[in-house]
Amino acid sequence: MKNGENDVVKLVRRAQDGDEQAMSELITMHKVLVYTIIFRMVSDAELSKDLTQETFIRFFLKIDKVKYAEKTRAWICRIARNIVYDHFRKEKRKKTVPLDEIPETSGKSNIEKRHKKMIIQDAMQRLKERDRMLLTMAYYEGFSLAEIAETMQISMNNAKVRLHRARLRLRDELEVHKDELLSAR
Amino acid sequence: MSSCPHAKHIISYQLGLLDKSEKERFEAHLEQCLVCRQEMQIESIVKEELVQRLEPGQIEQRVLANLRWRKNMETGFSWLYVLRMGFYALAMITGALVLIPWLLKYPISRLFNLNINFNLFHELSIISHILSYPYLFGVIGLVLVSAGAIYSYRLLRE
Repeated sequence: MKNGENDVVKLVRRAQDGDEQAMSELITMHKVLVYTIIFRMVSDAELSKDLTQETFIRFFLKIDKVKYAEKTRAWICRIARNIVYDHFRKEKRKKTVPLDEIPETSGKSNIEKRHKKMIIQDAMQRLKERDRMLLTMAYYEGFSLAEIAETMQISMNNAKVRLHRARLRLRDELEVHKDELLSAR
Repeated sequence: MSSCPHAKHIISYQLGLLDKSEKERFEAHLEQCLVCRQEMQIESIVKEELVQRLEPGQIEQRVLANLRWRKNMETGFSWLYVLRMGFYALAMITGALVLIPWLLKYPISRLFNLNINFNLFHELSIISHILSYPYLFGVIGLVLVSAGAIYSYRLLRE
């Protein structure tokens, strides 16, 4: 077991005993991942924040049922996915949001980069939620194919195939903007 | 998508899903193929965007506060809870049946010199009985409503 995983396991054990400091650390460790995944699925900064909080609340309410603490990250992501699906079921419609609402990320910001970002975000919006989630996890540093499979509750081979297809769909959506993307480079 | 048949490996290459020999073969091809190099450029741009992490801000304390509140709500059946609810209901009923008519009939009517007709209330025997002791029931109602309000405020703060 890696050191990071070991820390998570200890934190989960402490959180199961009701230690709020451990809970807070678990939130800090996973909040960026959860928020990023949810934001890529719902494209609304405020809503993503609410759903991220709801994810952690649901996680801690059921933390006693965690048997394999080393799979915490996949478990939290699965809860996030279910919460987003619940939200979509309630809303019965997908909300598209002006690209102005996309939160600023760190790093250089110029017109070309912003334009490029808009093209990719727009293409992501046209994909299914499942594909968006797969891609977000795939590009998230340190997220393995095994974890993706665990989160989506599918086999590794299936995860690989679905990921590949999702990426192809995104690439198809970007086809019309190919020249813009290359010139913006 | 692309005219080159090798372009199908680009995504797998970017995501690190190719095995060692496939990866070496693809890298050798990449050096010679302009189409695949362009595709790789697009993939890099996509990756650059999708690897970005988004920050939700400080949510820890809000999550923990909400969690505490929900745990309190999920404590299950308790007689104390039923008593509290009964107490609130009594306070509300007292407020509605005693305090409001009493305020309307006495202080407000005196204040504005109004001649409020309570015939409708007097047709109901309970209320007419209550209204015959307006000050007593008014004070009891006031105490109950105040206690209910203070207790509700404390619950909300938790």
